[in-house]
Parts: sequence; C-alpha cells; structure tokens
Amino acid sequence: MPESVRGEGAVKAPSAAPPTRSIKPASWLRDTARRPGWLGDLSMLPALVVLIAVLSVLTEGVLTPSNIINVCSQSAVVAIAAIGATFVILTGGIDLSTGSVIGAGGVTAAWVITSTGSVLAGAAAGILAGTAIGLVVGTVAAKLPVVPFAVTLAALYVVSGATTLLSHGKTIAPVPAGFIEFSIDGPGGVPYSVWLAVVLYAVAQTVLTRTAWGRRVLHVGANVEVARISGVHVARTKASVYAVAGLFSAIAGIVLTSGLAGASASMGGPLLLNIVGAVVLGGTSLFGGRGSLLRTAVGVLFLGFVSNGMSLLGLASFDQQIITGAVIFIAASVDGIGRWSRRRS
Amino acid sequence: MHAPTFIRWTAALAASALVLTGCGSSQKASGSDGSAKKITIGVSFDLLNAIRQAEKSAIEKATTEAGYEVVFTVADKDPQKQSSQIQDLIQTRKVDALIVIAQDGQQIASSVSLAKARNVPFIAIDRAVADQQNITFQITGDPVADGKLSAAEFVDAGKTKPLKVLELVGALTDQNAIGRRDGFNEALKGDPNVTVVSQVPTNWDPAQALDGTSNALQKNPDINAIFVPSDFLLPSVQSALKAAGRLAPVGDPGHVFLVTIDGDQNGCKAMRDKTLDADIATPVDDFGKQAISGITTALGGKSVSPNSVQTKGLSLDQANFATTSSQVWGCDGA
Amino acid sequence: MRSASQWCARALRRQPLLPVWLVLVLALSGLYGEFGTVANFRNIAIQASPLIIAAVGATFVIMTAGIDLSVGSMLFLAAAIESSWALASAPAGVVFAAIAATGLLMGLVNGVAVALTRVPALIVTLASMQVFRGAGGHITGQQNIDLPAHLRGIGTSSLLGVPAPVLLAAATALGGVLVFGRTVFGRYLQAVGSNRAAALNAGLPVRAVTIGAYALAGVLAALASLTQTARLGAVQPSIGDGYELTVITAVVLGGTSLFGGRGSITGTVLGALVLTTAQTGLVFSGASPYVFDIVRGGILLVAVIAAGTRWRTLAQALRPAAVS
Repeated sequence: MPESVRGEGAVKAPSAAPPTRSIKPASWLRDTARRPGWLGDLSMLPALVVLIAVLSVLTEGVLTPSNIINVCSQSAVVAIAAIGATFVILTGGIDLSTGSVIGAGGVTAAWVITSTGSVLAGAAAGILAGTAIGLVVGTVAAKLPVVPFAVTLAALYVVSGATTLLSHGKTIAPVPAGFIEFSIDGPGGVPYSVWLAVVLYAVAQTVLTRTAWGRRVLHVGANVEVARISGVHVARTKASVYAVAGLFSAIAGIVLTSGLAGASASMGGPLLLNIVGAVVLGGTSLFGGRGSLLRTAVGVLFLGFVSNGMSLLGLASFDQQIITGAVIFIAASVDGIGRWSRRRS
Repeated sequence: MHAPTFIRWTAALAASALVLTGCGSSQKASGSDGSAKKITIGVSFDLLNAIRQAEKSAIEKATTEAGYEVVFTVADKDPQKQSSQIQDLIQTRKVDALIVIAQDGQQIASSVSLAKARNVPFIAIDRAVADQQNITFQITGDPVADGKLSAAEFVDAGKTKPLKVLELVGALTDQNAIGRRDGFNEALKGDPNVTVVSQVPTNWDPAQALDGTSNALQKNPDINAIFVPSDFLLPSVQSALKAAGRLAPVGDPGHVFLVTIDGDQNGCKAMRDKTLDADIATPVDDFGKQAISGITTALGGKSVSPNSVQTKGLSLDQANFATTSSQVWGCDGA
Repeated sequence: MRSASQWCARALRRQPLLPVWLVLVLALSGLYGEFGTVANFRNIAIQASPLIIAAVGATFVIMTAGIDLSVGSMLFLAAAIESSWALASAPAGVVFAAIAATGLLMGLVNGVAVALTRVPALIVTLASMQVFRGAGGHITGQQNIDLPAHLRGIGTSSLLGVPAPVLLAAATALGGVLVFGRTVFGRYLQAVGSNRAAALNAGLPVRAVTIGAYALAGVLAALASLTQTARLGAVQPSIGDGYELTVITAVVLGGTSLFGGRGSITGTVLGALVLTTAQTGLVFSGASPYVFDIVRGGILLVAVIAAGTRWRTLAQALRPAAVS
C-alpha cells in the first residue's frame, strides 16, 4: 500500500492534526484495512454518484454524453492545477499563489504566441515562467526560516501584481484558432485538454506511488523528523514540490488561455479556492502525508458537477451559492461524521 | 459495519435531495413548460448588482412581452465560469438564443464561436465584445460618450467657478471604466476652468472609493468637484465628504460639485434630494427591448442590421430634472 | 540601562513588525508633507478600523489551527440583515442587536461544524462562505441600499476627538489582548492550538473552545461590518468580496502561526496598520494600484523573514522568560 504512508503517531511539532483520530479509516472502504489503497482513495466516489443521481432526477440532460464531456472540459483547468496543489498539500504545505501563477503562465504564453505566432514557443515560455516562479517560491519557503503559507501568500500578491502591471491589466488576445480548438475538440469528441488532464493524472499518480521522489514527498508530509532521520533532504523535497506546483499551474494557465481565447492576469484568481477545495474534498489531508491524485480527481469532478448542475437548474445566483455551499459541506461531512460517530461508540 | 454506512448515505441522499428540491421548486414550473416548445433564451451575466438587476428586469419584461422563456446564470466575475455556463446553456439546456454581458470582452470569444458553431444567436449587451463578426447583435452604452457628457457638466459649471476635480476611476481592466475615463479627460483637455488635480483608482470597490476619496481630500484640500464614474460609488464619496466636513447641498457655497453615471435609484434619489449635480443615465430599458427584438429577427432567419448599436447616455441635471427624470430607469416608482 | 535594552530586545522579538511600521510611517512622512499630519493619521486609523476588528476575530480562529474563509461573506450577510432592519426603520439599538445576533449565529454555525464534524475548517468555511453570501443576496436582492442617518452615525461621530470606528477597533484590540492573555479561555485556546491531542488528553473542553473561537470571530465580523457600512453609508453586494485574504494577510503579517498555538493580537493590529498605511502611502505617491499588490506582498515577505530570523537567533536566550 504505497500511498498509505500515514502520519501514525506524528510528532510534528505544532501541527494540530488530531493524530490518532484523523488517521483512523473512515468509511467501510477504508475500514477493512487490507483492501488495496486505491479503494480508500475513492471514498468520495459514492458522494459523487449520489450528487449525479440527485441532479439527474431534478433536471434533464445531466447524464448525456455531451454533458459529461462538458463537465470534464470545464474541469480540465482546475484538474491540472490541482495536481500541483496535491503534491504541495501532501507535504503539509499549501500554495496560495496557484491562481496568480495560472495568470502569469497564461499571460506569458499568450504574449509569446501573439508576438511570434508559435504556440509551441508560447507554451514553453509559459511553462518556464510558471516553473521558475514555483522554484523561487519553493526555495524561499524551504530554505528561509518562514512559514511556507506566508511565502505563497506574498507570492500571490507579487505575481498577480507584476503580471497585471506588465500586461497593463489588458487581456492578451487573439490567439490562433488552432490553439482554441485544443479546448473544444479532440479524439472521440473529447477535447484535447481533457485528454491532457487524464494523461497528466496518470503520470502524476505513477510518480507519486512508484518513484523515490514521490515516496520522499509522502515521507516529508507524514513526519518531517522521521524523514530527516531516514536521510531525506527535507528542504530540497519541499522546494521541488512548489516548483512542480508552478509547472502544473502554468500548464493549467495555458489550457485556460486556450479555453478563453486569450489570457489576463486576473483569470486564475477565482479558481484558487476551487483548486484547494477539490484537493481537500477529495480526501487529501491538509496536514500532509495522506492522500493521492485519484482522490483529487474525484474532488475535481464533484465540484465540476455541482457547478454544472447549478447552471442547468437555472436557479437564482444566490440560491446557487447556498446550495453549492450546502452540498460541499454535506459531502465532506458524510466522511467526517462517520469518524466521529465511530469514535463515540 | 455496513449498516451505519448505508444509513449515512441514505441520510446524505435525503438531505441533498431535500436541499435541491426545496430550492429547486421554482425550476419545476419552467421544466414542465418545455413540452409547449416555448422559445428559451439563455442569459449569462458577469455579476449581479443594482444596474444588472435593472438590466435583468428589462430583459424579463421584454421576453414576457415576446412570449419567451428565460434562464439566468451569473458568473461571479469569473471568465472561466461564464464560459462554462454558456457551454451548459447551449449544449445541455439547448437554449434557442443567448444574451450575454461579458466579464471580459476578449475572453468571451470562445463562447461566441461555440454559439456560432451551434447556430445559436449571440446577443451582447452592456459590455462590448471584441469578436464583432461572429455575434448576432450587440447593444452597449457608449462609455466614451458618457465620459464626455459628464465632462460637459463640469465645463458648464466651471464657467461660473473654476473647478479642481478629483476623478475616480473604475477597474483599470474594464473597458467601460477606461472609456468613461478617456472620454472625460479628452473632453476636458484645454479647458482653462477645469483641472483634474487627482486621479484615484477604485477597482469598482466602494471601500477603496471611500478611502481613496478621503486620502485625496486630505492631500488636496482645495478639491471642489468630484467625477464619480458610477452611481454605486456615490454613497462612498458622500461619506468621505461628510467625514471631511465637506458635505453640503447643491447651491450651498461649500458644495462639492458631483457628477455620476448610471442613473440608478440612489442616483435619482440624490438628484431629487439636491445632493448630486448631474447623473448620466444609461438607457437600460433599451438594452432589453433591442436585445429581444434582435433575437426575434435572428430566429426568423434574418440578420440584424445594424449589428452593433451604441446608445448614448441621457444627461440628467438639476436644470432639466423635472422634465427628464421620467425617462431615467432609476426614477421609476421612486 | 540593561533592563531597558532587554525590554527593547524582547519587544522587538515579540513585535518585529513594530519597527517595520515605524520606518514606513517615518519614510512616508518624510516623502510627503501632508502625510505626517494628525488628520492623516486619523484617516489611516479610521480606515484600518474594520480590518483590525475582523482580523482580531480571525486571530482567535487561526490560533486554534483553524481558518475562516467566510469572513467576507459574514460581513456581507451582517450588512444585509442591517439593511433589512433599516428598511423596517427599526431603532438603532434593535438593529445593532440584530447584527450582533447574526454574527454570533454565523460564528456558531462555523464553530459547531468545525468542532463536531471532522470536516476540515477550510472546507467548512469554504461552504459557509457560499451559503452566507447567497443568503445575503436573497435579503438584499443584490441592490444597493442606502442606510438611514442614525445607522451611519458610527462612521462619522466621535468621542473626545477620537472617531467612533477607532474607538471600536481599540476596544476590540484591548478586549482581544485581555481575553487572550488573561482568561482561562485564552490559555485553553493556546493549548488547543499548539497540541490538540494533548489538550484532549488533559481533559480540556476542546470542542467548546473551538466553537468559542469561531463564535467570537463571527461577532467581530459583524462588528466590522457595522463599522464598514456605517462609513460607506450604504449596503452593496460587493461588501467583503475577497476580504478573507486581506484579513489572513493582516493576521499572518502580525506573526500568528497558521499551525495554531502561537500568535498575538497586538501583532494582528500592527499587521492591519501596516497594510493600511502602505495603501494610503501609495495613494499619496500616485502609483499604479497594481503596485500595491507587489508592495503588500513584499512587506509580507520581509516581515515573515524578519520574524523568522529573530525567532531563531533570540529564541534560545529569551525563551525561558517567554513561557506563559
């Protein structure tokens, strides 16, 4: 069970993770501990099924192939950025600069594309910019005596401010039609952006569970001290995680630029809470060490169907907000209440 | 071990069903009408505030008259969400036409091309769209002209007393804000009596408008006129004036000359209470009417001509208030 | 002499932000003549007031290793309730009571959900952020609602020359310091935040303390809302939009740890003052508003690095004295 390197008996200094309880498997899936790890990873899946069932009863067209493709293509950007966020959260950190880096990566890419006409050069430039930002953030966060959270918050402001300043607050457009196609069409009627997200998830999950680096990430998240004693270079691992987050945020920014036919500095901002929300809702622990990309994928789809359902129901926007909040809480608490009631009995 | 899980999931199912049906009851009515094959219009707004509510009512009024159904979505200032919502409206709700207030005039392009590919008429209102060739019809205000009309009020007033103006600016990423600013500044260029002494960005945020106005009044105490680019910033400006001891009604020698744009309820009330000198009213009702007539034309298989209309605002000032206020949307029933 | 320098070192270690703020104020006063005036400092204090009030509340939550993303929505819902009572032309006392009750209720919703379920605080408040804003939208119909004069009073009146918002903020800060430093609740708060499991084992009322922290944050968010709307003179749909990050920035700037247990109310107040001073300074300099984000991020970075460095070098020497 590679991904269940869990923070049992964590001695992480000031962490408020209630060590013994939060680790106890929650649903029946995780209860029988000998089931393979991926079953535990899908503990949010029933909630997703219930959500889709309820939506199908209430409105037409939810389960049609075209709508499912819609939800997937609408979720692609959040999905890709959430890969990086998952790695960061697995180390017990959090990256608030994700939304800004999406804007920075997208604007860089769009700028190069509009001035050279080469999508490939643009994508490379965007990815380079995002990864560089992530590397700087990660290095500062890991090497200096600061809380990573505060560094990423500072980066959120600096990166979005700088991107807006450099783009004069304007939207960089137009981009070539072929680039826009990327988010609209693809093999089997499924947009390339969705295929890209699927491939990236497969790669990332493999990297997390099958490589030494992935194990180091889980190790650091589960218990920093133990990781250090067993020879893991903690600072380097932490820094690398933020660089990876910058990389995925930039890819997400480029996909978003294709989906919106242009890039602006502010376009990623509203996505931040969705990205972090998807990772945590999927069941990756904010205290690190426990989680996987499979979980994040389910979390992303859950939020995708919630917002799709809301626009299909055609409710007033404040009703949509109330229901969205309630549904997120209910879904998350089914897991949580389970743990609580078990503890009491 | 399985039983509590089962109960939990049943409870969750029941709870979510309850939540969704409870608030979804209004949806049922329109759902059952689907069999009558009414024409459904999908509407996508960037956000919801006072002027958007007025635009929404105008659209609703015009659609009811035409016998159409409407589905509203609001994107909460998120261009990605707006694009998703439009995709849902076109591909899953299968609406017959779209009315859109774009969050971003350029990033709406992919939604425009989707609508075109599916032969769904696309009508842009309020905020101009960059991709002019592919939309069915567009009706917007004319922000530059509105800025110029505001400037004209300042030029008039400057003839009796030289004005030192504080100019508030909306969000620097919004074409409407930029247009109003540019029109205003262009029209004032070279006028000997009116000088802009301070420009304060507000990012369309009332709190920033309040703080920015306070700070500017602090820095330049001789400011005696303020250009407010939207009615909803007016209470902030008046609070700042009050805090600085500078709030006085029109006609009082200590009065700070104020001009706003929009013509909403608060603006109209301020005009009536003689605390505001002029308000450039946006012709919101026209947006709804012309959008719907554009849809009717397009659904009849014809193209709408002209395919882009810019409507100038209506100058409402203290001199013409009695005769003109009935044409301003914010003065309705107040 | 020695004790004075010791005191200075200790104050510096506790509040590394104080010199940052003083330098900022002095530099701006030197650069712009109108900056260093009493009237301008009064302005800054008024402008910082709602942020101070809301951020003190958030400090209590963050101290428990929790987080409250719903603060901006709480501001809006409290304002919405205020406007609905105002439309019914209720007397000011009734309106204020209704707002306080709304704040308490919202805080209790958050607190109970965080304490009694195992849903992470981030998800609970992400959800309640949506619910509160939606409910506020229902009440106001997303309209701009002007407040009657008796409700604007707090924004413009003053007592002995001190503006009412500043008095409210000062009272909140003082109350916060006392609750945090001098009460059982404050001690439990630190215990719960630094090690929840140990607090549980020691038999502390962990759930009650958690609920209390969120309830307090709710009430203070409502108070911040009252102050802000009284200043604005109107209730608008954009109230509190994106406020959560500003509040968290002030708290983090003030040196409160997001992992709980360690933090200070004074630091939070200073954090709010630094942010407001920087913003005012930028208006004076006439710089692009986008520069503000860069400056804000830069100050945050410098402050946290400074805090971290001092913590390391001075901690050993002074730690025994600082144990509370």
